[in-house]
Amino acid sequence: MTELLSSLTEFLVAVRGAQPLLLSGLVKTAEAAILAILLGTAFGLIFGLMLVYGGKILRLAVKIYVDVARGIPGLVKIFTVYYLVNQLVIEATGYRMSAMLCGIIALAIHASAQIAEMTRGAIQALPRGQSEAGKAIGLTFGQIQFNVIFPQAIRQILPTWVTSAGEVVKGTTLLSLISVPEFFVAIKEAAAREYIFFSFYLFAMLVYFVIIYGIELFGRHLEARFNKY
Amino acid sequence: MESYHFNWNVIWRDWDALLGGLALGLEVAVYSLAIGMIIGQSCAFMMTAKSRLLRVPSRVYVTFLRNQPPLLLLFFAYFVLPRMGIRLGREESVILTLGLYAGAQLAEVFRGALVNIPRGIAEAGKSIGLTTFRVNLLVILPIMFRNALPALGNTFISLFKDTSLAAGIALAELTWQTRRISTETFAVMESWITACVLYVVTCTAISYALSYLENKLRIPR
Amino acid sequence: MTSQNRQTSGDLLIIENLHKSFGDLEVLKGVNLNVAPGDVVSIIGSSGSGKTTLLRCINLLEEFQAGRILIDGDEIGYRNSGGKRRLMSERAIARQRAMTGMVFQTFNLFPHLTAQANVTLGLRKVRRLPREEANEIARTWLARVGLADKADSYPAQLSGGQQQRVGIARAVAMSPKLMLFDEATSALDPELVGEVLSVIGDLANDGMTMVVVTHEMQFAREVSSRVVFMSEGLIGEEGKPEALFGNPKSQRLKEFLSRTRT
Repeated sequence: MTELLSSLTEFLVAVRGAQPLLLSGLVKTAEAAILAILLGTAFGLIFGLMLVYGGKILRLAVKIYVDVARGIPGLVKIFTVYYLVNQLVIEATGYRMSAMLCGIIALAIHASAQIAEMTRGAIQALPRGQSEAGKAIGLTFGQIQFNVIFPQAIRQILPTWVTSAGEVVKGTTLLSLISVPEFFVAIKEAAAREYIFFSFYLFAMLVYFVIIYGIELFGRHLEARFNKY
Repeated sequence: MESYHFNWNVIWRDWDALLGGLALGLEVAVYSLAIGMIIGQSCAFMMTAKSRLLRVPSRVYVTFLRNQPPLLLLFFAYFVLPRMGIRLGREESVILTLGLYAGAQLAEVFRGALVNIPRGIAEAGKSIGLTTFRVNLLVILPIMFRNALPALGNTFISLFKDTSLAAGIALAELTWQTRRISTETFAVMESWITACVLYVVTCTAISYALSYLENKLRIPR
Repeated sequence: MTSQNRQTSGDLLIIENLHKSFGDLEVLKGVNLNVAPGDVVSIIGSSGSGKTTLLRCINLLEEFQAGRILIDGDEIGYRNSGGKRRLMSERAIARQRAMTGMVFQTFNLFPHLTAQANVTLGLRKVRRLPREEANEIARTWLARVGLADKADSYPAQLSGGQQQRVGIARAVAMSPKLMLFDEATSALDPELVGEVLSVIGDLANDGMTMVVVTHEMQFAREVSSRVVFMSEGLIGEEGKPEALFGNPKSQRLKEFLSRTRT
């Protein structure tokens, strides 16, 4: 018991020592996750609309994008953007994207493919009469989308969107493999520096659990609000 | 910076290593799925049990593991467990980690498949004289398994994709091999294009194979 | 003393003072019923009268708080240990359930098994018959219910009436001492009711002892040797079908019959 207590104190002291490192890692993780989720959601919605309303060629192109993006593992996407896309960008512009930017792009691609697919599913699940009723009262295409279709589709999208957001957060740990100094890197460094491994890893698990499960609970809360009608 | 010259020879030279890496990933995914299915089915029964003693621990396990980054779990298994005297090889670490992780995901899948079975089916089993255990084994489990088939297929594809994480602990699967080639030869384009194509083709093939299997195993209607 | 007499009276099923509650709601308030071998007893009554619960108690799908049920002289479900009433072991209960065959309102066929495999499951796993013998018995019974050609079909490929006939074959193939039918035709489309009732009628003519919970008054009148009218958790009236339907004594039964006739 005393042994446990003393190792806990020791760990808390170590955490305090590593606080700046851990905090800056956490900020990086949050930055990457939030930007990737925002970008992924925006593009996902656009691609989803293209899948529903686009012409034949556009639909096919987006479908290929979605299928390819979903067929490539997240880590491979990160490496591909980091090595391959970066190479192309350098040749075209002479500018080298940072590892962080590459990571965000890769995570956003991942999320956009998932979100495009579920947007398509959600819109197509709505009865045709909904958009026809919108047309009948003289709404434009955009007005129909924002006032009629989206509010209904969002209830369908929300649960899967929450899962995607959680996956992005999980995916930020992969950025450690291209040396982005995010939270997992900070944990590894702190653990090695203080030579306390088990506790730091357990601490990391708890932090990630709180974030990812927190997103899930928040999603459920939103769902409950949207399910009123 | 001079413009890029394609040199596909570096890929052909290492073609066997790439395919070997792909096969290793598939092998790891199969073993992980096996572990995940055992854990998932056990947890599903525990989560729907009457006793709190069964429900609470299974619920905690599933909720905690489902919300973990798998890479963190993998590093924990490979780098931290040895410090506590539990030494696992690279492949074992990946299989164990992905198996435990998939178990948590599959627990939810199986639980859903389980609660969808009408109560009367189990009652019918009891009424012909089967004990609860044998009702579960002979009637409920096979139905649950078939209900869960489509989700099981998706989980397998996810698992296969997640085997790429093993590159993080230098297991020589496809992603690791690709990265090795790309850094050794600077054939960045060739190597990553090849990896992407291999992954997409494999995932598509698996997905077709699974839907064929699903059609065969599905309860006819 | 009386219970001793009853035990040796030769009745196949004896229910004494059966009490059953769901929480605060008392559903069976002391039911007494005797069924002699070869009897076909129809239980009628409005929904909520407790007739389905009574049937489920006989098959031990429901626990009951007081009273006794004896099948062929054996008390089922509970035993006395040191003056305390104890639920029997799972295994013992399973064995006792196999003595009665149950046919459900919602069929409850095993969806992942063919019609034949639905019938053989109990034969192989409970009665431990060899595969060939079990298949033989299953084919015989499927033929008896008119489904010889459907042995390899899965439940989802069968009509409701066909499913229910498989359900009957599954129960009766176990050679139960007593068959229980729980509103076996209520979930069926009207045009499919006849085929199922005629199968049940055939079994009755063969001398099978049966307790039938039913809404089909015509059937109860024609097939049963005795009709029991349940009302508010008790047996309100019982007798031969002609007497009960022709000359109902209680006001409740009169009202019930006038409602069901219209």
